[in-house]
Amino acid sequence: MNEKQQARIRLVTRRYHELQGLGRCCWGLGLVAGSLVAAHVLKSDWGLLWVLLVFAGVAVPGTVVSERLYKQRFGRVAALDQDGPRRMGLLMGAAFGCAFIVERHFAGPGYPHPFFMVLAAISAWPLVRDWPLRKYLVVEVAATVLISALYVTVKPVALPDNDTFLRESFIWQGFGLLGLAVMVTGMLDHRLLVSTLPGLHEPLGQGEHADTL
Amino acid sequence: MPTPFEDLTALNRLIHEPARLAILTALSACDKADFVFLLNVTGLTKGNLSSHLSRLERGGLVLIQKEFEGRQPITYVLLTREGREGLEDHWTRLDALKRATKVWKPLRTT
Repeated sequence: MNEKQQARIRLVTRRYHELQGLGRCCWGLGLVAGSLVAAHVLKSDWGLLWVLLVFAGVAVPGTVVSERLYKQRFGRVAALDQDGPRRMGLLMGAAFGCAFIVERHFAGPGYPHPFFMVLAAISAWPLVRDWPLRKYLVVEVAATVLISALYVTVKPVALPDNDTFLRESFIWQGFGLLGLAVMVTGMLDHRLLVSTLPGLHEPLGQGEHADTL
Repeated sequence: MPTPFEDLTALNRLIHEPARLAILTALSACDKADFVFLLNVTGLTKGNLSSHLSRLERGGLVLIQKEFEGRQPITYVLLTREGREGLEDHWTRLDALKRATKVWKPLRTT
C-alpha cells in the first residue's frame, strides 16, 4: 500500500458520511426544484411554504433512502469525533443567523448577499481541509461566490415597486444554481467513495455479514 | 555500518501484511467500522477477512464487538490502544526506512 492509497483510505473512512454523495444530490435536486417552484408561487400567499415543502419533499426522502443504500452496500462507520456534526450545526446556525440580521438591517444595494457569503465560507472549509483529494469542491465555492458577486449587479433601478421581487427572484435563481453545483459535487463525492472501496467479492445475504466471524 | 535494509526485519509482520495494513489504516481513521465496510475497503473475501481479523484480535491490535440494530446483528471492529500505537510506530519506521534508502550508498568491495 503506497502513501496515496493510505491517504485515500483514511479520508474515505474519516469522511464516510460526508462522502455519501447521493444524499447530497437529493439536496441539490431539492434546491433546484424549490427554485423552479419559487419562480411561480413566490408572490402568492403561502408561496414560501410551497417552496419549502417542495424542497423538503425531494431532499428528505432522498436522503433517507440513500443513507439506507450506503449502509447496506458499503457498511457502517462510527466517526472518531461523534460530536463534530452537532458542533458544526450550531456554528452554521449561528453564522446564518448573523447573515440574516446583516441582510435585514445593514446590507443594502451594491453589496454581496451575506447569506451566500456565509455559504461560500462554509463550502470552502471542506475544500481546504481535504485538499487535494476533494479539489472538485471548488465548484460549490465558485457557485456561491459567483451568486454573491452577481447579486451586487442587481440594482434597484427603473422599477422601484418590483425591486424587492427582482432581488428575491434573483436569490431563488441563485439557490437553483447552487443546487446544480451541489449535485455535481455530490456525484463526485460518490465517485471518490466508490472508487476507493473496491467492493465485495461475494454478494451479502440478508443480515449475513453479522455472523461471518 | 548497518544498511537500512537490516531495519526491514524489525518491522512488525502482523501489521505489515498489505490487507491487514489496509484494515488497520481504515480503523485508525474512525471509532469503529463494521465487517461490510472492511470487506469493501480491502476487497477480500469474507473468509479471508475473518481470518485476518482473527489474527489481529489474537495479536491484541483490534477488538471485535457484536451489536444489534433492531433485530439485525452487526459485527463491529475497533482498534485497541496497542493497535493504534503499533500502526503509528509502523508508519514511522517505514518513513525512516524510506528516507534512509534515499541517502544510502552501497560500499564497493573490489
